Amino acid sequence: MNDIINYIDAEKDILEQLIKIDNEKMFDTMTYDEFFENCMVVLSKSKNIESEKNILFVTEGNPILTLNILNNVVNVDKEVVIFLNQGYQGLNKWLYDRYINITGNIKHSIDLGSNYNKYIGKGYKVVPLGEKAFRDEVLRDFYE
Amino acid sequence: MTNEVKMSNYYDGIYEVFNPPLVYEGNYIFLIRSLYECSKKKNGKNLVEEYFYNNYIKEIISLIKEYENLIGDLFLISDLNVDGEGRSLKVSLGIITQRICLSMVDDIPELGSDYSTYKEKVGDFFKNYKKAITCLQRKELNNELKDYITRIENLYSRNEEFRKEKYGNKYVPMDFFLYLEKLRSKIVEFLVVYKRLVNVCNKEVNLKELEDLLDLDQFYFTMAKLIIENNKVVEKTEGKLHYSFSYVDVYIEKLKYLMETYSYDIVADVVLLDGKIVKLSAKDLIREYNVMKNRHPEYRTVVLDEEAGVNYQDIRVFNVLLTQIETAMKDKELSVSWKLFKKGEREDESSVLSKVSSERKEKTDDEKNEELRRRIDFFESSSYLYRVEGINNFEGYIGYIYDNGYVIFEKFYKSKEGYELALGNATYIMNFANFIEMSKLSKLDIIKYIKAGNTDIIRRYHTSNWAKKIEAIINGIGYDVDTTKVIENLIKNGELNNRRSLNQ
Repeated sequence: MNDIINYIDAEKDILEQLIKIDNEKMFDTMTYDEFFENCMVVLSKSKNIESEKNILFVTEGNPILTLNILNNVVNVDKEVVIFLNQGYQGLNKWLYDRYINITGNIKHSIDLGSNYNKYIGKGYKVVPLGEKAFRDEVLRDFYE
Repeated sequence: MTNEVKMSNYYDGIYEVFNPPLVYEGNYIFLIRSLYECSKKKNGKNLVEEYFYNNYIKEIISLIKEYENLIGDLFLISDLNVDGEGRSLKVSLGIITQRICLSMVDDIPELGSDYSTYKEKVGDFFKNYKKAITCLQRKELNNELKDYITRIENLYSRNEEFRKEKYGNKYVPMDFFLYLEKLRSKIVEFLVVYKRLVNVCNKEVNLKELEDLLDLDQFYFTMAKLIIENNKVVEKTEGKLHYSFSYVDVYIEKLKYLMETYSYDIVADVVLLDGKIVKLSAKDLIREYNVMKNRHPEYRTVVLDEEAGVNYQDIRVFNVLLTQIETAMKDKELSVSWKLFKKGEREDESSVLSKVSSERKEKTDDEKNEELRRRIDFFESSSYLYRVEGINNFEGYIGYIYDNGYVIFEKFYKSKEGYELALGNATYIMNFANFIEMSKLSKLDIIKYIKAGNTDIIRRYHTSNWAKKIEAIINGIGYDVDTTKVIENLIKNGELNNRRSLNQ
């Protein structure tokens, strides 16, 4: 996955345009340099994730978190879905597209749908990531 | 932390503190001593203290020497001018008069705001007491003056009790008629000097002169605290906030801005109404402000554009504007005859969640109050068409209807007792077509509805970017079809460029 840094470097112009779109839609002020730096930090560490079940990651769309997840699930055999709550669609789509180019792992996907209902009761291991208020509500939805 | 930026840069002097751009009714008081703490010093002298001593206190004391100890601290009063135009800051003659009258006859006259009427009112007040004294001296009965006679007799008894305690074995009872003569003399002497006392106190404080003597940042901060203190009294007696609170609203907004932008900070010693001195910081003041304002969801701050040719210092203009604003606000208020998102079964805190989620970091009271303030301010300052309340009013969900068809429901308060922030309640976004029927359901039913795959209700959780997400919904900012196409094209172009580079 370290190859992705080469893509980030080579596609600076594209990424700057995607960041501009995402900033406008998400009321953010991210810069390309911040994105690049954060990606470097994330890619410098990785965890070995194992799971007997398919995994559903639920986030608010933070693209750095998306990269972190993708970096850590490269070797996961099971289906991995990252539900992004429609956030940062530009950067997330770009990250996923390049992830597929690098790994070819089409078992893993991102979901930019409006809610995660279709995953409830389907046996996924649900991993909400982000702030506590968000994680609590997601777990409440899946387990109550 | 830097204090290069001053709060005083954001005010045009102290005039607008006591004479805001829009006049309002009602008064508030504070100790003159409160301003001493905000004074500039020169050669060890407190300039504000010197100013008030030379212009007011010296003469007041010379007129009522006998009562100097009874008077205690003097108060200033900010009040609407008697002609209904503008406001003024004066020494509180009312408090001086009441204290002296209390000490003399254990009774106080009704005075009002117009100092020019005080001499007559005080004169009338003591007329009955003088008549009562005459009756007692002549041992005459007079039913009309019965209460006054009884009061004087009681005063005599109490005075004797006091003298007994004071003199112990050396106590010699005072002759009752001597007491009556002394009381009459006191009253007459007081009435003789009272006109001059009125003249001294009626002199408005020269705000321009005072301004030059003050540490302005300390002053603006102190006034915000003092007005909060005054409003605590208004809260207790009238259950609402006073118009003067608008100064605190504006001050706190500027304070938060300076703190966030320039790391501005301030600590001040403030003399409260009871004479106690408290030291407080900017954060302390903001905390108090949040707590007080959160107790009054009915209190709204409205910003008006100034129109040329309108005299905003005329109280009649204020009253007309107030009526217009109240009408305009009522027009935006809708109510429904049911509880919005009534409580459903098993809707309590002890859910499966507590077993699944490990630690549960509790927000502090300050954090909750600040969060509550932020949420209320966010919606109240948004461009909603209507606000919808259920029969549980602010205790339940409140709906905000926007012109883009969205209806956003938010629960601010946990319950009306304690005015605590409602935690663990997401924001629900519906639309014109479904909100009436949906809002009759319980929250549990809504969640079931969403889980069943329905997408016409959106939920947003209170994370750190909650405000941005709601703002995007209100402003209709989102990833529409055109934006999605642009993104896809960009990604495709990037890929094509990569392939070209590889092939080279």
